[in-house]
Parts: sequence; structure tokens; C-alpha cells
Amino acid sequence: MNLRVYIIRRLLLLIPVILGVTLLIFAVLQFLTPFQRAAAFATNPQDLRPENIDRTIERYHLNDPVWVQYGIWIQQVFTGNLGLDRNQRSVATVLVQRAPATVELAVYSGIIIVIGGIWQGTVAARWKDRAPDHATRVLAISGWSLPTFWLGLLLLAFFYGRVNWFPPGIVSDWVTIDRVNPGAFTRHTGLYTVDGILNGQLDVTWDAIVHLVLPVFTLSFVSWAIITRIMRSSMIEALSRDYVKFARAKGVPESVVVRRHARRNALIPVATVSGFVVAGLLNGVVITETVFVRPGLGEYAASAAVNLDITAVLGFTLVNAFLLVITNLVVDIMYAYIDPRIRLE
Amino acid sequence: MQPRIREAKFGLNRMKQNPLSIVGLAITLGFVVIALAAPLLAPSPCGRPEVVSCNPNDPFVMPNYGYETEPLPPSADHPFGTTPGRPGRYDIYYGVVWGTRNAFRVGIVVVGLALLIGILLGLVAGYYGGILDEIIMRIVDVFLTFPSLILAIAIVAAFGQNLGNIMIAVAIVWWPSYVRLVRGDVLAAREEGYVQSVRALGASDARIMVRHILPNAVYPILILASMDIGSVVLVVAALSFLGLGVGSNYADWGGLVNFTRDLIVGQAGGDPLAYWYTYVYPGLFIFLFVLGWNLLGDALRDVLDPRVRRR
Repeated sequence: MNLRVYIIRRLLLLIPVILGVTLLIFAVLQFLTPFQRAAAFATNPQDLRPENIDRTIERYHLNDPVWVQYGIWIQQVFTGNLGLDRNQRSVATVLVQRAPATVELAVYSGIIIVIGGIWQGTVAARWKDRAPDHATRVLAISGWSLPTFWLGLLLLAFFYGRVNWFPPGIVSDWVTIDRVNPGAFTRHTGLYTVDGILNGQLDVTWDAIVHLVLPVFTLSFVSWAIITRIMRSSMIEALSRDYVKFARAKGVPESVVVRRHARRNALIPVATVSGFVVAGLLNGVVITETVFVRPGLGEYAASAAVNLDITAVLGFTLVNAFLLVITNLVVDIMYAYIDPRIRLE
Repeated sequence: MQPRIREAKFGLNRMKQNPLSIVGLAITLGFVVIALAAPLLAPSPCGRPEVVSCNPNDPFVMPNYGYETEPLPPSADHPFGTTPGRPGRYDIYYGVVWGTRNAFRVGIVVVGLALLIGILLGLVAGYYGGILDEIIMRIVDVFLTFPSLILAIAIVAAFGQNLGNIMIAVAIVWWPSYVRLVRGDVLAAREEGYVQSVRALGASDARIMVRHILPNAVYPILILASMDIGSVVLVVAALSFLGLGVGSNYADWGGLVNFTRDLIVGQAGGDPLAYWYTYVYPGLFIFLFVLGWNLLGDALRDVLDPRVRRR
């Protein structure tokens, strides 16, 4: 099977998954009150006024059989309408507005997790059963066992409460008051770190980085362990292979053997857990943003859940499921590209 | 019986060789003792004059010592101090001791539910195969597509916050991994000689599955389950921390940590390190509990997994 056929087959397999995911969310919707369900369809606060609610129920066929409702709902979802939240704002719009804060946190954490995890796994494998390996194991097990929210609070208590180096939030007040609000700062991408550079205001970039240090560390710490452990075991296996022995025998320097010969092959199993790592990041974002009062998607979803704002929570859940579907698709295709054995099966 | 005893002795010896296994076992046993002895370690103080409100019928409801916003530091009366008085001044020692019992209950019930569904569907999917397998595994795929914590949040938010719903929500996100595990083991065992021969002897499908296939798959399931008790408690603690727990006065580790958020993030001036006891003790209990089960799971793998144990 060549790569194109593999990709097409993989894309076809997406249909039942997307159908199932939307059906599950829709099933949860069915348990809600008619008013809450109407909020999941509405596009305009006027729709939810008491005098208009009957018209809204009529318009979105909420009294019709379930499959008709599902058809209408899925149409709404794919045209980008996720309903209104408790403040009568469009959930989809709020999610788009809040996305940059989350993207900044998740992308920086992701980069650190991948590079750091691969590096640490390599070190642990090279020094198997020696001090660096034991240290890695202790770190990995404690990473698995540490509650993310507790780690975040401990860091905040010291680095914010005691020494005040790394405050919570997304940027300092002066950025909002002196730069963004008077229009002296254009938000091209929404990412403060990048926009600071684009605007030539490096003090803003620096301020955003200062606000990112603790959340990125907290979010990375847990998922770091996953990649490190996988990298360690696959690296140990690769280092015992004949081609590594051959490379050593012909006098290739050890560092080149590790980097060029062993590590490249050891990276393949790491690719398979990346879907897992992304899921961990998405879960972690909810907790990390809540702890660090960072106005991103996760913080929105968590506060919505506490306030029983079901439309917002379900919209967020759906978006996350789609993100994970896409991630798994990309991972599988990349995997088939790197490792020809997969698509030949 | 003789070979079984020999194997058990060998397993114990394997366990003794790894210091981390001993640590894991010790931590977990320690928590078992705390959970069992909770009524002795932290008896209900109902009726004492300093208690503002108290529920003598449900020891999981923490007695309230007042509404002043300042938490009380550790003292003879409150060995771990109290939480800040919004919504109530609760004794942290009482909370973590009864929270231990709550953690066991939540962990065992959720993992038990997930095991039940997972083993049932995994056996059916793996043994019968075909269209049944296809349907079950596609449903599993759908559930695995959601980030676990986020799906649990959505379920709890939609169906309401009470202990039953929280446990059901976490079980709903947990069962799919067991289906995958059991199905894989069944697929491998189905074609083995011993299964073929009991089938030739005329054993029923149910008998083959329960008496012959399942016992051979039980070790990997046990290893995963022991690690999952810790992970489940971690997820439930995260839910409580986010404010989706059972209730503010309920003895629950994540909920106790939640009280202190305002002291650290929302406070104007003041050193949160002065209130260290309000977040260090409950967090430490969660961490040690999860660590204990993780180490124990690792140890069980060394002892039980036939592929690893003889190496």
C-alpha cells in the first residue's frame, strides 16, 4: 500500500469517529432543560428572551424527533455556531478570542516537553543503571504522581507570594493600560510574546515571558515523564542493535553513534505517544490556567463548569475532541511516513 | 499447592530486592491503616463548644470551627491547622484523615466499575470478533478521543455535582482502556492450544472465557488497576480543586487545596508561606497516595508479569 492510499483510508476512518464524538455530546445535550438546549442553538441573545423562546424552539426544531434535532445541530456546529454562554456571548467567538493565551502556553510547553524528554531519555539510556538513570526514574515517577494544581500552587506561593518574580495572569496591568487600550500595541497574532516583537516593544515580550515561566514549567513537568520513559526504553533497545555495535567497531565516536545512529531509530516509538502527550496537555491546560488565572480556553471551561454553563463546557469539549482527532491523524500519517513497515501492513 | 507457594515465595523475594517496591508497599499500607482507623484517629468533635456546626450522622462532613477569614496555625487542638474561614474553618487533620477513606472509596469504586465494563466488553469483543468487535472498538475509539479530564468535567457539569455522579463520570472516561487491554489478551489467548483443547472437549463459550482465558489475562489487568487507583484519585482531586467536587465541607483532599487558592493568588499583600500548612498537608497526602500506588504497580509488574519476573 502506498502512502496516498494509506492516507485516504485513514481519512475514511475519521467519519465514524467524528459521528460518534458529536453523537456523544448531543446525547449529553438531551439530558438538559429545553432552555439550556435552546441556548446551544441560539445565535442572538434576543433568541433566549422569554417572549421569543417559543419561536427559537420552533426555528431549531427542538420539538421534532431527535434525529432531526441532531441534523440541525450538526449543521450549526459545522457552520461555527456553538450557541450562547451564560453571559449571552457566542461560545465560538469567545473560544477564538481566548485561544491565543492557550496556544502560547501549550506550544511552549510542548516544545520543552519534546526536546527535554528526548534529551533526558537519551541521557538515562546512555547511563543505564547509573546515577543519571536513577535520577530520571525518580523524576518521572514523581512527575506522574504530582497533582498539577498542587505543583502550580506551591510554585506560586514561593515565586509570587514570597519573592514576587513570576506573577499570575497573562501580562502586567501596565501592558493593558498603557499599550493595548490606547492602541499603542497592535495584537497581530494575539500571542503577546510574538506581538511584542512585531510591534518592536520587547518589554511587552519580556513581560509575557515572565508570566509564562511558571505555567509552562507546571504544564511540562507531568508530560515530560511520558516521553522520557518511552525514549529511554527505545534508546536502550536501539543501543543494543547490531548496527550500533558495527558503528562502534569501525571507530565512530560515541557521541556520533548516539546522535546519528541510535537516536534516529529510537525516535519512532516516541512519535506514537505524541497523541497521548497532546491529550495530557489539553487536560493540563484546564488546571494550569485556572491555577495561574490565565484567561485562556481552559480557564473559561473550568469557570463555566462551576457556574453550570453547560453550553460553554460542551462547546469546549467538542473543540478539544476535534483537536485530538486531528492530532491523531497527523501522528498516524507522520508515523507511516517515517516507518514504511506501517503502511506495508 | 506446592508450586504455587514456591512461586509466591519467589515473587516476595523479587519484591524485596527492589527498595522502591518496599516504599510503595509501605506507603499504601500506611494509607490503608489511616483509612481503617479514621474514627479512632479523628473522632467526631460534635458537641464540643468551639464547634460551630457539625453533622454527627456523616463523619465525611467536616466540623466547622468558625468563620474568621484567617486560618489557624497548627496547634495541639488542630495538629495540621485549619482552613481559612470561607466557607468555614475546617480542621485540616480531620479533613485529610477522612479524605483518605474517601480516596479509597472513590478509587476502588471507579476502578471497579471500569474493570467490570472493561472485562465484560473486552471478553466479548476479543472472543467473538466480527461485527460485535467492530462496534465495541469504534465506541471505545470515540471515548478515547476526548481528553479524559475534560470529558469528566463536561459530564459532572451536565448531570450535577454529587459523589455518585463524580464517580460515574470518571468511570465513564476510564473503562475504554480496560476494554483495549482485555481484548488484546483475549485475542492472543483465543488461538492458544489450551483454549482450543477445552473447546474441543465441548466447554461453553462463557466457561472458556471466564475459567480459561481470563485467569491468564488477570496479571496485566491487576497491574494497570493498581496504578489506576492512584490516577483516578488524582483526577477526582483535580475536579474538586476546580470546584467540581462533592461540596465545600466534604472531607476531600482536592477540595481542601481549593480553599487556599485565594490565600495565594487573590490576596493583597501578606506572605502565603505563612499559611503553608493549608496547602502543603492536603497536597502531600494526594502526592504520597498516588506515588504509593504507582510504585506498587511497578512492583507488581516485577513480581507478577511472567515476561519480566524471571529475567
